[in-house]
Amino acid sequence: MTAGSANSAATRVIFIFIIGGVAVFTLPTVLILGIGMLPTVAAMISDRRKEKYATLCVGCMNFVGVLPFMIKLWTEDHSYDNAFKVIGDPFTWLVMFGAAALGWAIYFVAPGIVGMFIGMRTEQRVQRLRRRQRDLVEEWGPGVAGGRRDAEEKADKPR
Amino acid sequence: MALDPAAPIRHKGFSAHVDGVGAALAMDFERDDVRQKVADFINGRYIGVWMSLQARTRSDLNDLYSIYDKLPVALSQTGPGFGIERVLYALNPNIHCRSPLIDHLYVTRIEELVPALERVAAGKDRTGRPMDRHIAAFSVARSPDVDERFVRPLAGAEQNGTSHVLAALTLLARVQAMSKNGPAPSLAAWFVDLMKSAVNDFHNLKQRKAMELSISRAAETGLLIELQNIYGDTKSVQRDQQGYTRAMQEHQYCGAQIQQLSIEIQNREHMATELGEQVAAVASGVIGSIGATSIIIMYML
Repeated sequence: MTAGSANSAATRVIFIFIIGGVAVFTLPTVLILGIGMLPTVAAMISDRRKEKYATLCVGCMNFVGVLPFMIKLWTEDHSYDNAFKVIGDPFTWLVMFGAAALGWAIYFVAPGIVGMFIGMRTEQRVQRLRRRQRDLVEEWGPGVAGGRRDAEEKADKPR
Repeated sequence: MALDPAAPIRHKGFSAHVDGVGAALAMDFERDDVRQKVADFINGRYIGVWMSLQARTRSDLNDLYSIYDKLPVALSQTGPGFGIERVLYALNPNIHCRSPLIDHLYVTRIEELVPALERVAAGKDRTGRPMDRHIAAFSVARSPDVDERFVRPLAGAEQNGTSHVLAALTLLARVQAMSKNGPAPSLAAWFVDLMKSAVNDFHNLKQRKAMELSISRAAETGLLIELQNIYGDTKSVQRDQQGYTRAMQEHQYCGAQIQQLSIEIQNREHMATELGEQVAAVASGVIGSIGATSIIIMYML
């Protein structure tokens, strides 16, 4: 084991301990977070890519969906009863999972939009290049296209 | 020569007085043997020897001697403006130009050359070119303003190419300008016909049209120097060639770009997926951040 990896392992352990310590004192929040962020966990499991773009998409939106209920818990009463009450409300589930669904929607729709944009831009560039080629031929004659001008001129002449 | 210094000089069957060599050549110029004999006689440089043997100094022959002295150099060169034709006009200051083109017009002075060619050009038969060995030699021999710089390009240029016509145009433009002949529109039109291929060699179509317009204007004036200025503009030819090369490269570059973009269009799906996922992640992050901030602010208020 190298010094660098040992160092990072130690950091990870310290980090887990801190999170665990905080979690012990904020269990109602952990409860809401744990249940509310389930779609993100599912996305993380199903996302095979190294970059984890799907997890990031779903996670961000999912967190936005969970955040209001966490704040509500903190501002009203940070207890298990209140946490269960929040979880028991179907609207909570709708908001949390709906936000996650929005994340999935962004993840699936974005490539299509980007593809359309790339296609349009490429077509525009191709058209611009073809226009430039036409301008060059108009200015310099057909020989500029690489073919032998004499041959083309002879071919153009009426027989 | 030593036994009878006053007698005509005799050399390999050719005999003539010093001041009669030109006349002898003029009389039988069509005969190959006479031309050869006169050439041998001049190359032998006998005039200096002959003059040194004379009992009586003849100052009237000094000018003739200086002409004879220069002739071997002119004879040694074979291009138009040199050779035996040059000898003919140098030794016969009053002989008319024997060019088949203008022989019938009896041109004896350089001032008459361009008007004579203008008359020929105005006629129906415009085959060939308004320049040959006789006209070139006549011009150099008769005009002090036309030196060998003007006839040398006629020899160096390709005989069938436009550079030969341009050399002829340059020579006649000089003669016209120095002789103050006035306009020669038919001769100018003849040159325009001959130089058509030079204009067609221009690649830039706009420039070619502009050049054709300026040529037709110049031809209308009848001043050959105007035409010569247009055709002799080598810089514009170079610019055209460079521009054409650049345009070809640009066209090729555009083609390569189009090909590459076509491949990109074919691989659009893959690119869109790759880039789209990144965009989705960034968009979600931005929306999430804004949303979270808004929610926190909303609860804080």
